[in-house]
Amino acid sequence: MATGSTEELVDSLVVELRRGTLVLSVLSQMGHPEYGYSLAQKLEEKDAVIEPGTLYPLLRRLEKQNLLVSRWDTSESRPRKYYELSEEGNEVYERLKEEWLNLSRKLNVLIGGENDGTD
Amino acid sequence: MMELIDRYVQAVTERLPESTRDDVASELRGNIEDMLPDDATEKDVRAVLEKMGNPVALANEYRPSKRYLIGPAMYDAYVDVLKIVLCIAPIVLAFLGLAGVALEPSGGSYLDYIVAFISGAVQGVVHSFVWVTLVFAIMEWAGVDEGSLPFNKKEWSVDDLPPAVQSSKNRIDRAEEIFSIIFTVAFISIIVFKPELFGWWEQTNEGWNVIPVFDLARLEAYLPAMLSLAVIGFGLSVYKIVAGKWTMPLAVANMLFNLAIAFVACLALTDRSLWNPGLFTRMGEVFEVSAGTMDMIPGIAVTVTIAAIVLISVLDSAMGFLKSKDVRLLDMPDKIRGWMGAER
Repeated sequence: MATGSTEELVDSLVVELRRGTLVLSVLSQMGHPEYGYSLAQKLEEKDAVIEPGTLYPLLRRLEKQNLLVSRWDTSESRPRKYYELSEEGNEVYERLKEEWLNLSRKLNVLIGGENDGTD
Repeated sequence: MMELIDRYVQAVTERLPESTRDDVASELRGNIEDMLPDDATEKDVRAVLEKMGNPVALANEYRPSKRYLIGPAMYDAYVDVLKIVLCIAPIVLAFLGLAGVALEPSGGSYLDYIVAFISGAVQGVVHSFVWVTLVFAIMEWAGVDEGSLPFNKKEWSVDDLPPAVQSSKNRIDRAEEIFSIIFTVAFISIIVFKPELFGWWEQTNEGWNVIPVFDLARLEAYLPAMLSLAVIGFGLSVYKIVAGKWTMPLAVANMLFNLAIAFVACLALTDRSLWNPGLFTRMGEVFEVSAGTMDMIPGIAVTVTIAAIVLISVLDSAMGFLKSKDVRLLDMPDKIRGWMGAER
């Protein structure tokens, strides 16, 4: 009886967990200029899909926070808005990356410890 | 087919601030077209748009900040105050409805009473929601937060912890504020809906007869001021309940509010045209006072009332300042208590 709500709870917790990693995922791919769709595909190829409804607005937010810079390219048949890491964005990315490695190391210890106890 | 995309982009951007609309629209359109295969059919377009999701949700993602009327920090206080007001206003308005029927010269049937009672109660519920929500929305907008003051975001320090002792000097008496809310709600309901109930009540052969205190037409000129004062006073009480203790800015606000009340009250009291002349005539008859003496009485009554209002305002304002500072005078009871405890 409780499985339905457990499933829902797990889903919402996973969404929350992933939300924290979105910015880092995007920043990691922005060494070269990317437009919305090209970035979405790049992430998909690396099996790190971000829904387009989340990704496109996120790019604008990061630009507003000065982590990305953008320019319109109108030379091709379809005008595209290209984003790229700013200097500040690059610095933020490096620090976030460190934080992430730290965090995952600590979590691995925690999760690993629990497994030892139960098995 | 392109029309679908246009409609989708339109549905997203019309919910965004004007300044970003065009840019978001061209970018979004570009991204959607990129997601389509080269010779796309309507089915492809539908699939892509459904993948993008509900335009309302997408617009929310694009908007810079979450918007709400009453945020999580204020929500508990909102529910508390709403409960208090919902306990008072519907009852007051229901009984005002009954009084209205009772005062009708022809009298009323049972049905009239029931209808008046129910519609009064329903009005009370609606007004409770409207006014409480309005006050809290204004406070939310001004940036009031649990325990912090608007326009003054300071870093929290341990000194801000509420004291463990109940009899703290600067603690705000919740009961007093709740009473003040009850009084405000009751008073303003009567003034707005049935001002004729303030009056001299007499039992006659045909039931109750009321001679109103106020000239009802003239009273209407005062309603906007009274209503705004009630809303401000209500907000001040709510803020006191939320904040829980006196602070200097709160004492200043309290003083300004007292000043405003006293000002409007003096204005109203000295306005002879606000008072129903019929009342004085009738009072003279009832108490068998000569017309000449009766002319003097309102003047005396007004002077006494104004003196009382000024005195109460000054005392209440001063209290706010005394309680918001560490004042020796108010330390005394604590000290005596400590001294007595030490002796035992």
